[in-house]
Amino acid sequence: MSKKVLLFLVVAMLSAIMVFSTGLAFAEQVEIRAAWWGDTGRHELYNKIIDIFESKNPDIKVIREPTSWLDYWDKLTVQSAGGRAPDFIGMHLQFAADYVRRGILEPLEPFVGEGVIDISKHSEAAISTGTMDGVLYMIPMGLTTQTMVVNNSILEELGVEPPNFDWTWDDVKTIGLKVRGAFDEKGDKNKWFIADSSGAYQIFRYWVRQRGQEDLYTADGNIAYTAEDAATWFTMWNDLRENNIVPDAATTTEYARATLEDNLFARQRIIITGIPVNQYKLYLNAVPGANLLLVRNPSLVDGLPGEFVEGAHFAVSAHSTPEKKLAAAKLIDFWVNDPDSIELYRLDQGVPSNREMAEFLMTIVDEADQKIIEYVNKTSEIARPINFPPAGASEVNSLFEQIAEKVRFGQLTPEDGGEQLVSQAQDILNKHK
Amino acid sequence: MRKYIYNREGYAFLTPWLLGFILFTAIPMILSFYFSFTQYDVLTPPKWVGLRNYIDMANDPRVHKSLQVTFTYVGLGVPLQIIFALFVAILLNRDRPGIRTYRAIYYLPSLFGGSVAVAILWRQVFNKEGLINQFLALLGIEGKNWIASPETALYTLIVLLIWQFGSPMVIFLSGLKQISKEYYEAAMIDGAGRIRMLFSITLPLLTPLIFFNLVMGIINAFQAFTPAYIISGGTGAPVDSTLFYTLYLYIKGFQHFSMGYASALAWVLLVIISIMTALMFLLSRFWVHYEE
Repeated sequence: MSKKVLLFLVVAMLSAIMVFSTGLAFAEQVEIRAAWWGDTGRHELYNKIIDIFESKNPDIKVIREPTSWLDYWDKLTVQSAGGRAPDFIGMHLQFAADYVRRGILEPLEPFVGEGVIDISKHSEAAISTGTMDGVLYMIPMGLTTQTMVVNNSILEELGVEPPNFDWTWDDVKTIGLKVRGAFDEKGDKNKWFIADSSGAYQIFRYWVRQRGQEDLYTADGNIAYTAEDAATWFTMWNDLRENNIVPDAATTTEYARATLEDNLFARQRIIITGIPVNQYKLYLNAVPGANLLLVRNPSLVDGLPGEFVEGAHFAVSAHSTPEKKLAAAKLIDFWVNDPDSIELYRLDQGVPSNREMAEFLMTIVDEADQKIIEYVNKTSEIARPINFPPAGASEVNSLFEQIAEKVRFGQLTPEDGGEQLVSQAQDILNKHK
Repeated sequence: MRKYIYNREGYAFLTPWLLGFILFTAIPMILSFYFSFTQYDVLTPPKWVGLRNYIDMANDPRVHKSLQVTFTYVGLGVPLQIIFALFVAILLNRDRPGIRTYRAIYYLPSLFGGSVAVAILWRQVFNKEGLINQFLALLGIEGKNWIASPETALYTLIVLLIWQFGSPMVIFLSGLKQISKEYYEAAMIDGAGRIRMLFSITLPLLTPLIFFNLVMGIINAFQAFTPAYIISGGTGAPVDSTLFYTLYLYIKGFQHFSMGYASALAWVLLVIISIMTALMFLLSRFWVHYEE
């Protein structure tokens, strides 16, 4: 009899080990997982910042989960679906609505109230960017805005004048033609003036706002642009493509998912591309020795300024234990408020929303960073307010990319593309209401 | 009852696997069938919607596109892969020194499967400045961007499938070795040439294995996901030309928060594969010869 009992016990133990083989947490140390997006340069920087946090908080251990921007959102969705979202989450306004409305993010008021996260020195406008329906869900990593980075070294070689700070969409074509001529003379067939942004929803956003719409979405969560807004946008880019000012459709597609170090700008095959201004330094490193200028997104003649201040945020996962949420909140507070962190962090995600830290930075940053701070200051003067994207925004984002791609390959006319975009986007939003 | 007690050690040892099967296969299948009738974004409770997912599927142009892409992939890729496997197996079915090394080399690609390294490799071979175009340039032909053009992107994936002919090839090799040499000797005495021997002896006797590889190949190819995901960056680009059915399922379930719809897609795929397999079995009586 005992032999059978022993056999059964062994089998039961093996089954138990197989089924319950998730790690056992020891009560002494709280272990949290922190996820963010970026390139290798940023990963090294953030690891250093977290190391300092760990040395100041020996009872907290942080497991780091960095990814590239393109993979980050897929990974986060899959993790959230499995209830395993990281405790400390990098978040962005583009996608935040989907996560907030599905209860993935933890409201942060309690942590503020208890003094775990100190927002007393942050500007109200900055904190409001992380607030939805009156509830605070995320703290700004930094304030930034979009810019176009210009590889002036190549322009000097070609003998073409760089664009003005306040250049227009018409200038894109005029200067582009000059550049095309210069490239052709040198026989550079695989180089172009500017990146094809026809599928960049966030730059389309500028176009829409310049034409007088309030934003991509209305305040009550509907599509705010018209089919004509989209049709004129696609027509403009088709024109640029026919004149070989932007790369052909296949090249754009091929490099659509390339990492920063690997993309067309880093390979010096295009002269201008749109980036968030806080990544200025990363691009300086990607094209060493080149003279890079910062200009605004092209504006519309007789249009309104499209600029708005934005940034990425930090959030805490709602599906976590209270100790882990507390640890993640502490990490957020350290990151945005502690001088030891800011000294390393600097302007990696933009100008700190903590006014004291921003002033502290002005005293220690180098020329490149000062350029960034100046740029953000200049554009925030003309920036106009935004509307928080509704649920379904990520799906609308991919819908836009698909339609833009079809127009790029000539499978849709700009007019049809515009109409499909508006009607299908509104359908998506209605589905998620 | 006595039989059960007599076999109880067997059942005891079965328990770990049985537990795994129930927890990780049976229950998820039942749940997924349930979800296919709901609207479920995985993070909030599912909402019953009846047959709506299935009706939406019938009207969804991307579903039609993905079926077109997947059927092309299966219809072209699997037969071509098997033909290649058979061809190379016949070539490698000899007793030369070092033949084992060749067999290993030809088997290697099928081990790489859906790795990121292969996807990057493929891009380097098939893009505008890639190997293929460099070779074509020697002949004076300017090649296009094969991997990023909607007309040709799918075919690069088909080539990837054919390149991984190692597994069917190994099976054919073992089958070839089982054909008795007597048949070939008798045929040679009767004056048959090599081609005649191939079509009258080798192929008919291999038909059971051809059938096996065909069925397995089709079942796997319908479920292909990783190559398309990596090479298109998860989008089916360019313009949905590499939107495999499973890739669309993934996009709907994990990027668009529509897990109910994705579950419906999964069950329809099961039905499609089952019908195809049943068809293959029905037709097999006409061309597969089992030795009796």
